[in-house]
Amino acid sequence: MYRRYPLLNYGLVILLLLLAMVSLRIGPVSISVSDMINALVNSQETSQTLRHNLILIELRLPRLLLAMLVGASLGISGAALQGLLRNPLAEPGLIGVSSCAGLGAVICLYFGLSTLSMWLLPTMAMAGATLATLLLCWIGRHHAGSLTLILSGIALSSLAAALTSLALNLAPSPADVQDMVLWLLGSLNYRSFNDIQLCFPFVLTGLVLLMSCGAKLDALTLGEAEAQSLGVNLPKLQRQIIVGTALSVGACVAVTGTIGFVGLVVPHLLRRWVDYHPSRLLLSSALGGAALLLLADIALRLLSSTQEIMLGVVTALIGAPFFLILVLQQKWRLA
Amino acid sequence: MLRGNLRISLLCCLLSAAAAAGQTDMLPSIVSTHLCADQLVLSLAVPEQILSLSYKSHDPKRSRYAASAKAYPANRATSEEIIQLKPNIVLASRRWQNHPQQQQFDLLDIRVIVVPLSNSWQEIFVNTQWFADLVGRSEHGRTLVLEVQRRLQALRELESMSGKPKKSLLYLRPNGGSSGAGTYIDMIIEALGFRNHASTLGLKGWGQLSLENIVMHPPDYFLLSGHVRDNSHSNSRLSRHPLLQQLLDEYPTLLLPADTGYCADWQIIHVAEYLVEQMAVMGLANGQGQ
Amino acid sequence: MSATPVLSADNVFVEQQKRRILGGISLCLHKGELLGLLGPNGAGKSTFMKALAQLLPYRGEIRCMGRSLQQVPAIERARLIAYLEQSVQTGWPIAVRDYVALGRLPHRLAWYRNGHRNYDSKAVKMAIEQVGLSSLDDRPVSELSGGEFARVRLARALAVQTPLLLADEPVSVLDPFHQLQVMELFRQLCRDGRAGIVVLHDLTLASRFCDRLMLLDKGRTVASGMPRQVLTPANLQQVYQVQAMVGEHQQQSYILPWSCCNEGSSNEEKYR
Repeated sequence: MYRRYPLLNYGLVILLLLLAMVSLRIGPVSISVSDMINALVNSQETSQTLRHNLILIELRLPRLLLAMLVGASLGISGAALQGLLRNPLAEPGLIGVSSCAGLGAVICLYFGLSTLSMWLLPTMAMAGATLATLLLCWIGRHHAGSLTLILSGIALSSLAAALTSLALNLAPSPADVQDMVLWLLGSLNYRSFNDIQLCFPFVLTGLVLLMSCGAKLDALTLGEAEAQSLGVNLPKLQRQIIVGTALSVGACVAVTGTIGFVGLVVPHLLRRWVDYHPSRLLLSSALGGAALLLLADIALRLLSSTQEIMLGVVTALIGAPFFLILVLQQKWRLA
Repeated sequence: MLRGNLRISLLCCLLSAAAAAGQTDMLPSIVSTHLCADQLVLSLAVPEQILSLSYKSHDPKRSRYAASAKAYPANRATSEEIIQLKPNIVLASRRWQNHPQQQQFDLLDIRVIVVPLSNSWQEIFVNTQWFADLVGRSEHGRTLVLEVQRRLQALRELESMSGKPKKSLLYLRPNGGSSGAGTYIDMIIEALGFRNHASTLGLKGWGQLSLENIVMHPPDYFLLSGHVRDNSHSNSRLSRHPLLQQLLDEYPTLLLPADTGYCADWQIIHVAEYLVEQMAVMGLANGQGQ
Repeated sequence: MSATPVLSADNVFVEQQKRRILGGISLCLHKGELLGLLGPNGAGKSTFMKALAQLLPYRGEIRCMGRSLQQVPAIERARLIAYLEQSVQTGWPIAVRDYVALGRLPHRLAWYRNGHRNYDSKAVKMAIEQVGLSSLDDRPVSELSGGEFARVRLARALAVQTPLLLADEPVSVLDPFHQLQVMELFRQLCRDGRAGIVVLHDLTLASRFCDRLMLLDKGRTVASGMPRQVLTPANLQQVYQVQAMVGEHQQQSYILPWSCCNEGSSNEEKYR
């Protein structure tokens, strides 16, 4: 039973590497393994190796890295929120961070601001996430308690969803509606290193904030009062996790659109393998989330022919039934 | 040049309108609810016939005829507007065919006509004549078809007879959309004497190309769409990718204006002429190499 | 007494939503002492315990080992006071050993944690032995009975190795055997050099196992001192509104609440 979880992390890293290699192999242009190596080692040799190199480095690699970054953010945020709220249903989508980021982007698209500057849309999405975060932190400071936080999050995400629907409702043209809907469904298509550059600092800060609260999350297993008696500053922990989630998920949503279920399913799936320790779950969920999103991206690229299948749709298609099975199998109850 | 052509055709329009003034009363009245139909109406009908044009026709970002279209009231293709205007003919898009108010239109003797799409130059000539007949301007239609045929011939004669293989040209929308054989874009490309690169990449009709394929097999020339619809954020992902930007820097690039119309009717001859002019300005030769 | 008291509270006031919950409670607890905190529901026992554990804002001063607790950082305070809440649901089903090990957190979070790993696991093992659950140490806590879980929680508090132990109703969910066992353990722990405060409802257990008792009602101290001085029929009638049957067995007194007093205020009125 013990010593199982370091093995799990090694396993997940190996899985991630395998998936990464598969992901690099998949694309409209088929490149054989020997061509791949050739393209990476001596790209300047011929125009063909140069083109292969461009396809691998400029097109497939950013997509691969972004999938891992987004998956890791969603996975770890889900694990941290579930630990904080001691509720296995918590996920970034639940507390309203994703939907508020989505709302920010939709507002940007609605008023046609995205044409002014390519940075404006991600900025607006992150502003939406930040706004949601500030509100949740304020609520957390004045009415401590997990239930208040969950319920406020649900209210917040419903409001964001309603405003998003309003924007869709009032959208000036079908093209705008399509734009918003496509964006809400989430996609990794044609993302470049520019996009990674944009979200990476925020994602990294968020990941560090979330990774560093493991021991305190463990203490929360004892209940809020006893955890506080062990020196855990609960309001500070809440702030740390909410800010970490907003930064990492907000930045990812800003670049890829909203992607659901990863934050919910991955911690669920891995919890048993880390002996239910919230702290061990953090790293494993980050790795698992990255692997799951990469897998979803590979699946959709294999399935898509001319019309691209959206990533958010695939994660929901994989995630929702899976989640139902997990819930039905669940033996333990929580407050 | 575009504007010049516009002026000429408008002038033609007005002259013939004056000539036909005596018989205006007998011509059917028209409401157009569709941007492509607007163009045809403006080019073939006399002003007295036109009761209303689609609201998009007033938008200079989409319609080259915005200035002249503003002389007519705009409509948003609702049944109420049409019943109120009570034209003889409503020109509509294909989507409009199953309109629930069809029965009421029948009662009021309003004909709903869907403007057909043309898949070749020959079809364009036929459809233009058909439309001219429909609005009671057959003679004018014959003149127009002859003029377009002459201009098309002039374009084809521009192609040098050097016997070199044709250069390839790829039409690309910001979302990766392109068009193979059987589209008006293909007709333009052919008229300019280029090989349609989208067909080489295996595309038939309208469809999407992947950036990987374009990188792997780049064309000699790019032709970019400037359609307003394509500037939306999600749809222009491909065009914002640095790798494509790099390709566009590397290869000569032509640009379709936003107000091209994007309709498969006789007016694409304007577009073709405009592109020839653009190439001349850029110092590029026609499809058969320098 | 000469030595610094483990815990001293001076005139502690607590207000919540403009309502006074505690109105000036003072207390002094020395090494080796086990204090029983008694009082009817709503008397402010749990609030007082939370104030002592620094879990809610209060006025007045509380000192532990001579240091004013409001000036002590949370992590150091956690190494002075172990606190057991009245009741908690089992959280994640982690193993007993891991659950108890959470008590070492205040020590692990300190900057000098290196080299203490072995000592941590030793402390955990010892705490589990003290509550007699060594055989269950890799069972998930969700699979334990109520009594076993209560003892695991106690072991968790013991593993912190603090001079002061605060336990809010530690025996109320236990069967008679385990009630006696846990109280015996508390007394033993205090004899071994700690100090403890337990909230109790069982008057007999309070009088038998505690060195001193403190009786609260409506946020004020009604009586404080040796069990005999506190658990007088008059006090019980005033505070609990019960007539108690008091007897003696093996030179220890037992107190059984026998009947309700209806003079003056009825129970219904009291809870209104």
